[in-house]
Amino acid sequence: MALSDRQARRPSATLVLIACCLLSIVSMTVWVNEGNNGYLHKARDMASLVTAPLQEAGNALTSPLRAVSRWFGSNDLTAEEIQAIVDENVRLRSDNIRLQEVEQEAKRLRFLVDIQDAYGLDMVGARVIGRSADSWNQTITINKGTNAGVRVGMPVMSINGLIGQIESAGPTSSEIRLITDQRSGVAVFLQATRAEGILEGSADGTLYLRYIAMDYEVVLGATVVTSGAGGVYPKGIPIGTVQKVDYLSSDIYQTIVIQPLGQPTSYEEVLVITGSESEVGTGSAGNTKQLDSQPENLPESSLQ
Amino acid sequence: MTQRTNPLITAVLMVLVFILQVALLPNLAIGEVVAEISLCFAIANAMRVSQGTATACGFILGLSIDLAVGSPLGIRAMSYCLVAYAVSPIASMTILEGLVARYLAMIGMIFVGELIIALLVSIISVDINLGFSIITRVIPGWLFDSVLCLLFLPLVRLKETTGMIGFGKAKSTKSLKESLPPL
Repeated sequence: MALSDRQARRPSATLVLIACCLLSIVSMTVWVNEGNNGYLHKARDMASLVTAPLQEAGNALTSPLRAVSRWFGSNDLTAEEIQAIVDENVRLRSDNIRLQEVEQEAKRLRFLVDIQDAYGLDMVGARVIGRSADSWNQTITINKGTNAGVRVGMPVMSINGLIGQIESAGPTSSEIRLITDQRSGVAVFLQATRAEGILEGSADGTLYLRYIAMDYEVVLGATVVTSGAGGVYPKGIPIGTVQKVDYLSSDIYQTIVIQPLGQPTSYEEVLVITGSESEVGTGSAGNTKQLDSQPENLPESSLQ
Repeated sequence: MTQRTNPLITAVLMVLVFILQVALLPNLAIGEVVAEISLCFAIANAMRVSQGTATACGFILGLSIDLAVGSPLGIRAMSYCLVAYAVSPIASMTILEGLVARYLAMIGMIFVGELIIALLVSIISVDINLGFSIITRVIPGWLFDSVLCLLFLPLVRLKETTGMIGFGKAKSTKSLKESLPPL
């Protein structure tokens, strides 16, 4: 009898489902309609205090795996040669990987400093501590937040060029939405012809340059840089090169595929362009600090 | 038949799955596809607990992942609780007593869960094409998840062998029946 009483007091599963679905619909609606300063977005920023250390730990835990994968990927050795090396000295190889990591990190950090000098913008260096935990968002998490002056909307660069924009900022960590994300859009132009368009990400991570009229001749390998229009990104930051041009005779615009200068999975250190809030990342064109042209002393590697 | 489950074990498993989803799996992504181990757990959990508990657990886990991932709050919460609600009665069907049958049911429901997420994402973000998302996200994610959900088969199997899941003395169905008062 006691068991049946207890069962009777419990809400039925259907009621639980209805309550959960209603709560989900309400939270989705509020999330979409409220701005970045809304309660739910702030709750997410606070949650990053818990998730950022977890992501950092996970990143550190899997870094040897990724380092080995990169090492194999960067050498065109035959399977026999690799096997011979493995058999000869496994320990020596692991030491070598570790030292290469240190050397590459030093090189990347030097480039970051050079880029900061070249653009003359205020920037904050940060380390990537996590990547998107689902397939629907192409984001990365960095170890700098509002305590370091990072704010929502600020552009972010790597040693190769523009990589995205701050999506949310917690006190000690921030999330960057990459330009390859399907919700991203950047005002750009082709450096050689000055043809302006919009660079958009897609679900499979391919970058498309839209709204380039058929009149413009687009050359494969041409560099794409930010135009500064819209006021979010400073002018003249390189993004990628033209990989493929496609169009039909009935089209108004060309379909251009852009090869980004860096692979999203390879970012380890980034620069957040802070400037001041009135200068970058606010979306206000009038207040945007813009570079008039490509900086002359930009490190060569950034355009390779 | 309602199984007696230890809520502490369920809570610990949920925390572990959350940590795996947020900390480890993003670094083990294949291309752009990150496995949703949390969806696998929500389904496996629904096969061993009551329908109401499974629905509530799915909702809480989904909401936590939404909060950590930064996607619109409620997408996973809704998907997980719907799938968990549907799985629970399916799991008690006689045809699904074998482990292989349960595995097939799990991967079927994983596809449904991924599809619901894709649908909600495309509704909220009007610029996302549902068909393209199914090809580039749902199907690869489903295949990835199908492998990962093998991890949860022991959890599902526990229901067949014992009446008590987790800590505590296991009770057989016979002893449970004997402990009930006569009608």
